[in-house]
Amino acid sequence: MRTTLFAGITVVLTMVSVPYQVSGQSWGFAGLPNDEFAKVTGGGPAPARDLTGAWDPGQAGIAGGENYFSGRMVPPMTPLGQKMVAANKPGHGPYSAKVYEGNDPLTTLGDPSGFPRMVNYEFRPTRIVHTPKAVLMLYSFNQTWRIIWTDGRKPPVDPDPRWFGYSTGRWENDSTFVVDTVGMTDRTWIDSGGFPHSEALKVQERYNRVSANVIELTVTIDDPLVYTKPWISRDRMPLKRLPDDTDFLEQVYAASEVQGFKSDISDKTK
Amino acid sequence: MRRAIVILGVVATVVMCAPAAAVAHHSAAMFDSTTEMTLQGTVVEWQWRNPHCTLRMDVKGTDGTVKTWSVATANIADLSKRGWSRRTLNVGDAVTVVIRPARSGEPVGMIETVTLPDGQKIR
Repeated sequence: MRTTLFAGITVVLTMVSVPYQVSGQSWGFAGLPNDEFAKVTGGGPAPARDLTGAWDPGQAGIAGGENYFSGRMVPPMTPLGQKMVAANKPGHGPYSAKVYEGNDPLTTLGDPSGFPRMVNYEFRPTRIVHTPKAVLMLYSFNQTWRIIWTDGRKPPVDPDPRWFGYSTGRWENDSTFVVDTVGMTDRTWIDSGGFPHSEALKVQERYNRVSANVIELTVTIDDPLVYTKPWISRDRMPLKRLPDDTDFLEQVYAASEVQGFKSDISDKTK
Repeated sequence: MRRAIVILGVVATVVMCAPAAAVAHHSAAMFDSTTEMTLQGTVVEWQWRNPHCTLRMDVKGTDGTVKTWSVATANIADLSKRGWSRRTLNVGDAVTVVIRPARSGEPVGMIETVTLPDGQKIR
């Protein structure tokens, strides 16, 4: 009996625990190292309609390397898109420019990443909170947040463009949370590759909680003024669960700092 | 010519090597991706900041003149994952730093490795 009880407790603990142990109540967690990220799997069945917790998108989320661009299928741009992309001088991807030519609004000026760039680049540990009428996304990168309204409201008609747009969410089934976003300013890029968008952009995020410890995120870019077809910027990218009490590192790209790097280093590489 | 003087003036070892892995946020094309240079000097400032933490160090040339180099590495989050902190480098520390210098010949570059005063090499 005692053995059975012990076994039962062990099973329960295994189901609710997460594999990687950040030291309890530690401060300033920077994200899982690659080998630890790879070890986080399964964790038992996913709870229904619940994304609550601390999540790490891992190295793929950061997308600082060229692996983000390789193998991706971006459809041809419209004439407007071609004109817009010609003006962008990014540090990554097929349109990479010399660093002293760079005009990335995030890394040379300190502008916000905005949405959807915040899930396509420097997507680092993020906390998701459910409230009765909204899901809150709290991003460690640039200490930024979004509200995904789940109260049934419709997207705004002809909204004033915002850095982070206007988001509404719904559960498609017990495991898939679908977020639609409109009304994003065209001052932001889609990602670090300088891929442009217009204010007609619509983005859909699909958060599929495949198990207790893993959410798979797919992001679809739909901007008929800039791209000839919709395309996918994130294809089932895993977010892995961290202990709920993980405190995140503050990873801010302050305007004074990015402009300091430009004047101290970048401008001297010419 | 100017670059040649810089390279000779500092206590530097220049070696040819394979291109390094991409460094953080910017394309390796911004620096001389085929050349490494070794700088020996003292820490003037360690800037624990984004998008690239930056080490400013004084390097004395063979003619006795001192030049201040600014050499950058990854961002705070990525360095934290690798065990670095704002206390890793301190003003006055004697360090040996392998960098990839800018093609421009200016005293700037990207850090490959740092050898700390206790002999520990970090990257």
